[in-house]
Amino acid sequence: MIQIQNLKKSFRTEEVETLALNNVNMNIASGEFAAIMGPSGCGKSTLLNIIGMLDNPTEGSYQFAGHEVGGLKERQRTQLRKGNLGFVFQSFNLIDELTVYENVELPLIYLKMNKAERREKVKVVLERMKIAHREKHFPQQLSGGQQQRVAISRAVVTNPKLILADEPTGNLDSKNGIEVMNLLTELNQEGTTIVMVTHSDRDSHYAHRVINLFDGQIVTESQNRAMGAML
Amino acid sequence: MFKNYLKIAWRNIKRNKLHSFIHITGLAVAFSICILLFLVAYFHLSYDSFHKEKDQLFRTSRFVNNAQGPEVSSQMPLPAAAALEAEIPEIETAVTVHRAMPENFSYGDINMERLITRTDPDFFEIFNFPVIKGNSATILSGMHNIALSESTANAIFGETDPIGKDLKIGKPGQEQIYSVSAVLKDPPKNSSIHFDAVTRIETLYGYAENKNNWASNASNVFVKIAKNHGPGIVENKLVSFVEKYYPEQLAQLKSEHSEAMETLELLKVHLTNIEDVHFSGERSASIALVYAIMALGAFILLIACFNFVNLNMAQSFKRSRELGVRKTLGAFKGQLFLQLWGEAFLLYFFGFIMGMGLAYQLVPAFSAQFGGGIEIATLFQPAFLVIMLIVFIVVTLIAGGYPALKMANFGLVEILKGNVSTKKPGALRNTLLVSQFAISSLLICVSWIASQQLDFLREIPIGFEREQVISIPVGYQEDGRTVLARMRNELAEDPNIISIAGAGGNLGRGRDRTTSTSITGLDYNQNQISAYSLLADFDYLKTLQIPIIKGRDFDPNFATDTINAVVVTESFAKAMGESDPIGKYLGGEGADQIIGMVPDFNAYSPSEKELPILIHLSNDETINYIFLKVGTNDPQVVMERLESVWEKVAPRSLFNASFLDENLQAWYEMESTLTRVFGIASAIAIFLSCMGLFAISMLVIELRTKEIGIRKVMGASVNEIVSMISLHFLKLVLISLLIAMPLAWYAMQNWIQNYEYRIAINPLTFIGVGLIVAVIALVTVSFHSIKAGNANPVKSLRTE
Repeated sequence: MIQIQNLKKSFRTEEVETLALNNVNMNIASGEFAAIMGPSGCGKSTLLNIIGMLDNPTEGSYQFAGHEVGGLKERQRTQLRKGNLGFVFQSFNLIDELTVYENVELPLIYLKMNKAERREKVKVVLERMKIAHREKHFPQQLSGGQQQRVAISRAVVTNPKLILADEPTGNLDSKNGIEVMNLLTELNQEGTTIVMVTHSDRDSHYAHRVINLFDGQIVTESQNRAMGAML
Repeated sequence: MFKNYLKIAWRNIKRNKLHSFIHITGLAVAFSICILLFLVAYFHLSYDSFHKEKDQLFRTSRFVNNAQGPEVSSQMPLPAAAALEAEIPEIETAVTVHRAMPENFSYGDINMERLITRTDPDFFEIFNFPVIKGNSATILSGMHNIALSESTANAIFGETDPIGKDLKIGKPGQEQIYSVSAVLKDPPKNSSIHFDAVTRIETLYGYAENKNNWASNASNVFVKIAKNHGPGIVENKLVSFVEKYYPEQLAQLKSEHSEAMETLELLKVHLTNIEDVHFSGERSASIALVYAIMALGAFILLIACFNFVNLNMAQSFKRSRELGVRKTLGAFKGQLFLQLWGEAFLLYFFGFIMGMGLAYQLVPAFSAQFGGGIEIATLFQPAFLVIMLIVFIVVTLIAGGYPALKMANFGLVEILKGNVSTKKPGALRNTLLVSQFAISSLLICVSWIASQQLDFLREIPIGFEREQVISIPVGYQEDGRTVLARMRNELAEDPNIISIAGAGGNLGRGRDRTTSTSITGLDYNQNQISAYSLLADFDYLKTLQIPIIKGRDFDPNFATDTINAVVVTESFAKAMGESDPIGKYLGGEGADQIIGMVPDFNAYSPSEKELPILIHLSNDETINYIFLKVGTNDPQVVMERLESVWEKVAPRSLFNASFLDENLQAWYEMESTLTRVFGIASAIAIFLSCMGLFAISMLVIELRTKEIGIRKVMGASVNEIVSMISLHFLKLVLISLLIAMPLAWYAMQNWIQNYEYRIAINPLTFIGVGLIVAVIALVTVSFHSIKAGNANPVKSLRTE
C-alpha cells in the first residue's frame, strides 16, 4: 500500500536547513499495523504527515496504492486523501464549536455525501464506538477517552483504507489508552491498514511491526510475534 | 509604576505594528473628519453669538395670513423701529438694518464694489462690531458719516489714515459724498449682519418717500429688550401695536378671513433671538442639516471606537498571560485597569493629535466644499477646543475603558489555564461589526438617493432655457441701460448671438453672488394679488425661450409697452380669477394693462413653479443683468467674444458672465452640500469599517487556525475554507444591510417629501448598495481567508 524510497524532508528557516528525514525507505503492506517509534524530534511526525499526504517530501518517492504522490499539488493531495485516509491525533483535534455528531459528520460533508447517507453512516460508527448517547454533546463536555473515541469515529466514518494515528493514547490514562488500542486493533483486524506513531512500548506491542527512527533515519525494524500469528 | 505602564504600553504599540497602525490611523481619520464636521456645525451654531448682549437682542418678523396663504417675512417698514421704541417700554433700543447692498466706492482713481449696510446710529450700541479707529460714540452722528471695515479701509486707503476722508459712493453721475468716521474690525464670518461699510439709513434710495410708509417692507428691525424681560411680554404688547399701526391691512385681512377670531391669526409681529436668526426666515441655513452633519461626525467616531473596542477585545486573549503574571505578582484589578486604559489613552491621544493635524491640513479644502466660513482659527477657539476635549475624554473613557475593564476582570485561574476564551466577546464583536456596516450602508444609501434626487432636480423642466443663455451682471460702476444698448449695437451682426435682453434681477445666482426678489401687491376687482415683480426689457421672453400662450410679447412698436404693459404667468391669471386676462387692467383703469400671458416658470426656486409673476418694462428702473441667448455649441468661443465686447461696452465693470444652468446651481446648494458631505462621510465610514473588518477577520482566522487545519485534514479544499470564512462575515454584512436599508428607505422617503418634484426611490439602488458593500467586505476578508485556506494544515495543527 505504501512504498517509500529515498525519502528526504528538510525544513528551512532563515539561517539553518534541518534535515528531518534522511533517506527513508520503507514499505507497508495493505492490512498491516505498523508502529513508528523514536525519541522526540527524530522525524516521526514528519514521516506520518508525509504518509498522510498533509505534507510533501523534499526528495524521493512516495507511492500510495500505486500512485506517486510525492510531487502532487495540494488540490490533488486533498482529493486523494479524502475518503482514503483517516487521522487520529494525540490532542484529538476535535472542533470545539461542533457537536460530537457534527465532528464525525465533517469528512462526509467534504465527500459531498447527501444528508440521509451521512446520518446513516455517522449513526453506525457512533454506535460502534459506544458514543452514540453523546452525539449532541460538545467535545469539552466529554472525558479524554470519550473524545478520542469521537476522533476515531471521525477517522473511520469514511471507511478509509489507511488510518494514521499520532500518539493516540498520549493524552489518555492507561484504562482509556488500552480501550483505544483495542479499538485500533479491531479496525486493523477488519482490514484497515494502520500506521501509528508512539512513544509507548505498551502500545507498540499492538503493532505487527515496529520501525525505529533516529535522527531522520530508520535504524531498526522488528517484527512482533503477534504478526506471525496474524499471517 | 507609572513609568513601567508607559514602557509596556509603548512596547505593545511598537510590537503590534499592524494593529497600532490600524488603531491610530483609524482614530486619526475619524477624529479629523469628526473635527471638520463639528467645525462646520460649530460655525453655523455659533452664528451671532459674539454679541455681548445676545440674550436681549431680537429680530422682528411679520406673519401675514394673506389670501394666498400665510407668509412670514423679516422685512419690516421703515417707520417700525421708531414706533416700537416709542410704544413698548421693554424695548430699550430698536434699529433698522437695511441689508448689505453692493455699491461702487470711489476715491481718487480707485473704484471698487463694496457692500454697504444702512442703519441707525444706535447700531453700534447694541451690536458688537469693535471700532479700531475713530470715536465710537459719534460714528454715525453725521448724515453722511460712514464706517469702513478694516479690509475695505485698507483696500481703498492703504497706509493713509482714512478718518475724515471723503468717499464717493453710487452709480456714475449719481454719487454721494460720505465722510469716513471710523474703521471697524471686519465682521466675523458667523455674523448674520455683514458689511464692508456702515452708514445712515437716511441715505437709502427712496428713504424720504417711504419713511412713514407702513406698506413697504424692505429692512430688518433689531430690538434690544431690557434685562429681565423675556420676549413673551413684548410679543403680547405687539398685538396692540399691530392693531394701532396696521389698521387698513388688518381690515383687508379680516374681510378675506372672516373665520379669524383674533388679530394674531391675521397679522402679527414676533421676535427671533439673534442667535436663531441664522436658522430662521428666508435664505436661512437648515438646522436639520447642521444636526445631520453633527450626527455624521458622531457616527464616524462611533465606527472608529467600535473598531478599537473590537480589536482590543479580540486581541485581549493574547495578552492574558501577561495579565495573569501581573496578577500572580500581586497587581490589583484597579492597577491592571489603569495600565490597560493607559495604553488605550496613549493610542487615542496619538490618534487625536494626528486627527487635529490632519484636520488642520484639510480645513481650507473642506471649507471650500461648504462655501467658506470655516477657518483654521476656529480650531483653536477655546470653546471649540473644550468641546473637542470633552468628546475626546468621553470617547477614551468609554471605548478605551470598556475593554480595559473586561480584561482586568479576567479570572486568574482561567488565565493560567489558558482558557480565556474569546467566544463570548464574539457576540459583542459581531454586534459592533454589524452596527458599523449598518451605519456605513445607511450612509451610502442616503448619499446615493440624495444624489439621485439632486440630479433629478437639476433636470426638471423649469420653463425657460438655461443651457444656452448667458447672464452678465452689469455691476455698480456702469449704467445697465447704456451697456445694454451698446451691447445690442456691437453684437447685432454676430451670428452666434440670437437675442439680447436686460433684466432687473438674475435667475439663480451668478458670479456676483447676488440674488434679489421683489414682491408687489396689486388690486384687481377689490382683491389683493401678491405677485413677484420682474423688471425686463424687450426680447426677455425670446431670450429665455418662454412662449406666449395668450396675447403678445412686448414690442418696441408699441410706445406704451415701456409704460403700462405687463405680461403675467398663468398662476397670476388664476389668482385674478380670469382664464383670459388679456386686456385687463391691474390697479384700476389706466394703470397696468395685461398684454400677454406665459406659462408658469421656476423663476426663484426649483420647487415653486406655480408663482404669480408680473413681468414689466420700465425706463426708470435699473437694468442690472444682461441675458444673451447664444446659438453655438462652443461656449468658450462665445465667452471670449463677449469678454472682448464687454471691455468696450462696460470698461469699468468686471466681466462676470455665467451660463444660467451654472447660476441655477445656487438653488441646489443645500442638496449638493448634503450629497457631498454624506458622500465623503460614507466613504470614510466604509473605509473605517473595512479597516476594522480587516483586523477582525485576521484575528478570527487566527482563533480558528486549529479548526481550519482540522477541516483541511478532513478533506476541505481551499475554496471550501475561503467560502466558509467569507460566509461567516457575509452573514454579518447581510444582517447590517437588512437593518440599514429600511432605515435608509424611511429616512429618504421622508426627505424627498420636501420636494414637489421628486424621484421614486428605486429598489435597484438598495440592491446596488448591498452588492457594493458585500463585495467590499468580501475583498477585505479575502486578504486573510485566502491565506488561511492555503496554509499548510500541519503548521496550523502544530501551533496547538
